[in-house]
Amino acid sequence: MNRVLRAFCGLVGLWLGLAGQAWAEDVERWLVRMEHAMASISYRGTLVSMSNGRMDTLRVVHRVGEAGVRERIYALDGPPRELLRDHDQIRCLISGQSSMVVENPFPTRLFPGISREGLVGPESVYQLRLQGTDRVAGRAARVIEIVPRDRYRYGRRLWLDRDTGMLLRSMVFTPEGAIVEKLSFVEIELGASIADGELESDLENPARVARYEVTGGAAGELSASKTPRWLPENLPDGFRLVSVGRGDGNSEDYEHLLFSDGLASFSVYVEPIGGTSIVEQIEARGAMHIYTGTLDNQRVTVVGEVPAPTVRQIGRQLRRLQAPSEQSRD
Amino acid sequence: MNDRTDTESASSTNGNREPVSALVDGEMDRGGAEFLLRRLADDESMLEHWQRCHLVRACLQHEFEGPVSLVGRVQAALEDEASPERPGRMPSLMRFGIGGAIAAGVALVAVTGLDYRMGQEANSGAQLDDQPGFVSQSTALDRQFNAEAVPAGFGARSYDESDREAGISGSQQRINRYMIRHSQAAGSTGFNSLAPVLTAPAPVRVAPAASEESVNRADEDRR
Repeated sequence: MNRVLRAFCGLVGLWLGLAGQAWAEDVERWLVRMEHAMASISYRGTLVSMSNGRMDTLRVVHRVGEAGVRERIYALDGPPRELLRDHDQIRCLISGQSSMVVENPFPTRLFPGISREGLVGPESVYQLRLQGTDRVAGRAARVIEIVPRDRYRYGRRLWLDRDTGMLLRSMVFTPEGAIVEKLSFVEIELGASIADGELESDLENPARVARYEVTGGAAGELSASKTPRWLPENLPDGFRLVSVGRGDGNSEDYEHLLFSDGLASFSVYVEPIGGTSIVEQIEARGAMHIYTGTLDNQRVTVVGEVPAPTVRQIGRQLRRLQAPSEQSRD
Repeated sequence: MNDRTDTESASSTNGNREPVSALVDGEMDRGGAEFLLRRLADDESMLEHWQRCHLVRACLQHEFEGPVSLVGRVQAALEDEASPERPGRMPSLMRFGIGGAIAAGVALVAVTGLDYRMGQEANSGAQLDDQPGFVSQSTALDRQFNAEAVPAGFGARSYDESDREAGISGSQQRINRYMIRHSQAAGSTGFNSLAPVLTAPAPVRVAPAASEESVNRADEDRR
């Protein structure tokens, strides 16, 4: 009898394991579908963002054309502020500040350069679940949940349009379940026909633009084959170095390291500070945390949608691998 | 000499309080209000008086949400206070009745004006003509009512010495730049990766319990 019971339990365990694996693969398929939808569908909608005890209403206009993606995200309340994406270029316009143009040093991809492999399987740092259906902005949605297995990353609950896979709502939460950020469309028009005028800014003043671009051609391009000058002593499980880039222009000199676990990612920037003093600090922008600190007369900035202790740990554990020949050791 | 200086200072302070009270009561024209608000931002004693006036008004109008005893104390203090009547002023009850709406309107202009000025400071340069000031940002004037408020960012905050030297907006511009680059590097194509750039920054204090050492320990325990 005991043998039969053990066999039965084994079968149930196997079935649960296979079912869990199938769920995870389903979730992974939904994630791929979501990325494809967000990169290939034109849409306009109104978005509500809640984080840090603050609520913002944003208007999003996103057009996919032959020339690439053009997008305008602008705030409907608070100080006027806008982001305009024109293929490889992003302009950030905030009332009271100089306009900022950030040139993309690497070509825009339809799909993220980060591989999703590792999200599914026993080694995965996440548990992936399908969580039924819901309704968001008047559309039927499939809910998926991604729960982290440790405290170095956030979990996510995503509401994806049942028909297209478009992201309609996202919620970022801590491993303990506390909500960090909510983004939700309250109204969205998928497959919208968007005129050029909708993508023009009301704020732009060409006379006051700070332009940031990486010069030197391929020098700034992110690449997995480049050797980094800096690396953290320890990386949380699942994260790996995806690419290395450098800004070698006259106005900017920095190293950019991109790490990812297949879902969450963070960037590390190391740049000379030129003798000025910097106070170590962490800032939150929604679920994004930004650590600023110093090391060997360099400013270290860690930016990512990961918890504050994670960016701090990475920033504090960064070490120089090889000193550039033109700089003397401190 | 010192006595004279003290007397001058006290007289000056009292002189400053009159127009501040008038501002709170909505008895000042728009030009005067804007001028006074520019001074308010630089004068802590005037700012403190401005805050006290609002507190008193909130207590009298039963809008104050703090300790109930404070309302009674403020009312008692006002009854005991022998405040000189300014020529041409309306009786206080009428002032609060009629002036309340005007005060709200002027306060709107006032806070807008101050916010506008802060934006200029943050930018350490000229303000664009086509950029209106807005009210919903937390300013120095309303911090008293929300002591733990998330600081309004968008260039109104600085964190390190180099940023102070380079101008407050430099810090936020640098962070915005890196956030955008991170989004680009990760290949993000959606609104969700860029929306945080437009949200207000909030400083984070990482509690010792949540430090990396404890995170490591917790993870080891879990294994």
